[in-house]
Amino acid sequence: MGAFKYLFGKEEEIPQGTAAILFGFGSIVWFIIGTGLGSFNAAKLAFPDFVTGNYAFAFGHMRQVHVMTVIFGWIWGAFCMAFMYITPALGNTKLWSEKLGVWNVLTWNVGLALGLSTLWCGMTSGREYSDFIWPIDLWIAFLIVLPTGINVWMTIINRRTQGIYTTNWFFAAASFMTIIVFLIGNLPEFFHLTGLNEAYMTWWFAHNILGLLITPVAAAISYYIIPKITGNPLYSHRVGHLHFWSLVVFYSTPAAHHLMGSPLPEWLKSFASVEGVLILIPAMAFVCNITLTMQGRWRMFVENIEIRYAATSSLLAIPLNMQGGFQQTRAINWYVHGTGWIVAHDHLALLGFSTFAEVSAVVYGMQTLMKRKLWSYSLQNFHYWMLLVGFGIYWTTMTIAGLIQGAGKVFEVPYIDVVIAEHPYMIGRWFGGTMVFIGNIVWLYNMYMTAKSGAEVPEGLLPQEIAYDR
Amino acid sequence: MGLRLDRPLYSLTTHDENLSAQHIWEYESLGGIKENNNPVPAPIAVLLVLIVTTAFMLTFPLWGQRPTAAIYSDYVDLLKSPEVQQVLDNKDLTPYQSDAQAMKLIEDRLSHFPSPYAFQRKQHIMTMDHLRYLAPKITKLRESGADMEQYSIIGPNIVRQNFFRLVDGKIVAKQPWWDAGYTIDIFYVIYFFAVVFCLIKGLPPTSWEPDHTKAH
Amino acid sequence: MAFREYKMGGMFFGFALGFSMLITIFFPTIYITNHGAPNDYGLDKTMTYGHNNGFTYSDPFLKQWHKPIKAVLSKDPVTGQAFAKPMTVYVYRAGDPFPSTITHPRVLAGEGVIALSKSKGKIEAADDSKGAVFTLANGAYKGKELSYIVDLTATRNWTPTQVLAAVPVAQQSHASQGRTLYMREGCWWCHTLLPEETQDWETFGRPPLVGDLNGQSPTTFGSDRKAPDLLHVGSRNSSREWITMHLFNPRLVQPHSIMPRFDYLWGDKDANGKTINYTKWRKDYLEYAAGKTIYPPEVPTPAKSSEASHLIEYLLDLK
Repeated sequence: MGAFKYLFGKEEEIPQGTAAILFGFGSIVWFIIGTGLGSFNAAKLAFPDFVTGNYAFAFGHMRQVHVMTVIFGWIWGAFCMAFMYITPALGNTKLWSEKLGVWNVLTWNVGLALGLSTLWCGMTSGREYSDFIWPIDLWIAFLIVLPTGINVWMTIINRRTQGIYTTNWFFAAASFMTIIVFLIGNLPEFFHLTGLNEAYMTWWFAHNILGLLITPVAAAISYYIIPKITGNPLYSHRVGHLHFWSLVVFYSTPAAHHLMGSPLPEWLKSFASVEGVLILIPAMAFVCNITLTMQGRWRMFVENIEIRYAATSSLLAIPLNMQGGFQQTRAINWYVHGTGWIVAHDHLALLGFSTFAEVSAVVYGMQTLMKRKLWSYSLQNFHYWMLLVGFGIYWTTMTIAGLIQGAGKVFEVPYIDVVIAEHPYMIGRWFGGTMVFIGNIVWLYNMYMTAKSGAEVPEGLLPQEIAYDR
Repeated sequence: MGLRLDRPLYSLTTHDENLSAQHIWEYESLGGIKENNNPVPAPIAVLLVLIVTTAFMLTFPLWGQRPTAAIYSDYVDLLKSPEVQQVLDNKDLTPYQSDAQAMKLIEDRLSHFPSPYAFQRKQHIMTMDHLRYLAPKITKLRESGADMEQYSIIGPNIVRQNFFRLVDGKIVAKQPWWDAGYTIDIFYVIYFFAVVFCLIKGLPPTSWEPDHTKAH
Repeated sequence: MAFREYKMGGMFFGFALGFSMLITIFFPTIYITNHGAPNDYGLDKTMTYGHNNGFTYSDPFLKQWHKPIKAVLSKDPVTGQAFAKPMTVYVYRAGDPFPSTITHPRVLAGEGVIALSKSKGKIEAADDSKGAVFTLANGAYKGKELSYIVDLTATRNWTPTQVLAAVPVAQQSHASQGRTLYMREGCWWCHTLLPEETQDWETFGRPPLVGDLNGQSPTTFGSDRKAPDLLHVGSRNSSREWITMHLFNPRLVQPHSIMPRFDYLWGDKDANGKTINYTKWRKDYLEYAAGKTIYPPEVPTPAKSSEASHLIEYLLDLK
């Protein structure tokens, strides 16, 4: 709460890293709320009479709140934390403005609380992933993302190195692209575009918010964490270029592949589905770069918790992109479209690939910024396994449920039989999701205790040395 | 000086600038991190080629084509022929046997004539039961003068396909074997690889290898 | 050329992103806007649903304010003369915003439909501050039969009030309000509005075509189908009683359903003005579910002005 005094304090009086720490704790809290809502929603699907017949807790009011909390609360919050400490560290400088960062924490929390409560009340634009009403969209673009962007860009401009490290290209580009995606993707709401254009733009937004914000930043975090903690240099600057440029070129184009069954122009669908497979180029460049950077240090995958989170994230990028690249082609999409398979894939992206990278950034950042070692390595280990096993159960059950749904669709089974067949998997989904939720509570506790009574890192010890010291 | 295509950046810069750039590259610490300058590994280059080839091969519109009414039009004619009817009416055979024999006969007759649908017929095998059910509908559709290629067989129904494709200003419901999206894709991929190739060639030469131990 | 040209990198980045958006936004939206003239089906949808069924100026809380009414008119509202064939009209009362197919006729996409709606239908004369009544008509354009929109207020001087007075309340459909509820209550998180072309066609009906969607906002195809597609549910199951029971408690008609109960949409009073006692209903239902009674408690008939009734009207309108 002491952070409020910094809002009007002098820039010099705000300790470095304040904004990053606030973002970090905020993101964990939002993560708990988001996964709690997810667990609650999953319980409704598994046990249909669980809290029902109630306006406030109706599934249809809460489903999107879960998605938005996780994306804009947890993921965006953790990203901001990463921006606020990694960007300056890579430029051998400090954050351009801690004060702007602290204000940014405020606008983020207030905007998100506002957006989520309006959404929960049923005020929605009715467009998936851009469910927020347009005033909230503008708030996010101009009061949440823009200030972060300014801080990132100005820190990079004021760097004290000649070079800009790969991670920072992604940070700077992603925060810029997020603003563009918000402003362009919500044009249907600002200017009331309708019909197929609206449908297409909805999925253009949905595709690009995942592809131009979450994927690049999560990857960029691994680009920092892995070389930093292993002490190995990044395997290749060139492959980094290949990753960056192919991401901008190929990830921004396949939006139409989300609507393969709709009456969009055929040429657009063909174009998008080729581009959709080409997403494998940035993905493989990224995986190649990270795994080769790990060369000679794979021992740390077992011994070091941050490396384990980050490397898990990078390894999960392989199945994620293999699924993503191929499931959108006409040959496969007709079978899995609109089924639980896709839900499993989404969670592989956001809960698997992306979340593991962000946890590593938050866990590592908290320790370096607060100059304290983790309070309990075991609890963090517990969190890792709760996250991994919970996610694994979720992914497996939803993939099976999706295949059942697909078969039901193709063989024209009466829908209710599909619902009956899916029931055990709905329970499995709830179970896996709840494990993640419980793990997160433990994580928050561990982080709180780290802040309070984690062993202090002796003066002069370099952050990366913490890794060996444990 | 003078441009060398394999090292454009190096050759467009003076010797002194190159020396200073190399020094920066090899000694600069970016927040304690160094970047190596390894070339794209050969297996990854192969993988990239594989990805691009797969992308085009897998999404080729022809693969996903649904059976159209046109490919079964000849089946209906042959079904009505006395020869096939004779097999179907043969009381010595069980219904299963006569159906199978009649279908074999139809397929045999069809194989003697070249048809643009030969490939699709193999993809979507027709059974006698299904054909018997569809035959009146296909006949009716043909008599209405509709373009049979615009109609899909979906189970027992014949429905107009749902393709938003424009030919000479008219919307047609035919699945193309090629379309404009592919053409755009080809140019898009060429543009990407051309630019990235030039860009990577412009990066510092691989002989500039920062050594991690030097920086710290 | 200097080492690490970040300015050039920035320009490259701008170009790459801009070029990508040119291909994925500019060309497709121009193409979509210029092609796909609506047929009867599409015109009926846009006129039934009105301006917007999500968050909008005129209905920020999704309380279904300012939504059009769809009605079947069997007599002339001015002269009282009976029609040979009943006429479907879309009544926009004063202040109800028009769909973009009226305000921006180019959304109608087809050259003929735009020309006919403007010249014969006089849609440009419609004024939303005074309200207007619309219907659909057929006409010839360059030798082709096309459907178009007619502004009855401009062509016949019928006002919304006159028309509504001439239609019994029971025949006024609040499908637009119902669609707004469909968004607000998140029906679309489980039910899709997009039958797929491959196999769904048989079970769920025709997939949407180009021209079915002009002027609709939001389109809400839905992406995660946990329940049957609803695009043509009104043709499949037009039993108001079944839908009513199903909404009140899905497990009354489908014991294995995982759909939530929407009994709260009934409001306080039922169609007869009687206060609905939810606690008692729930108690009776649980006894029935436990096998203690043979018949489930009676589902109250929703009042015409209740949200439940609007939602049912929307579902029945999904032909």
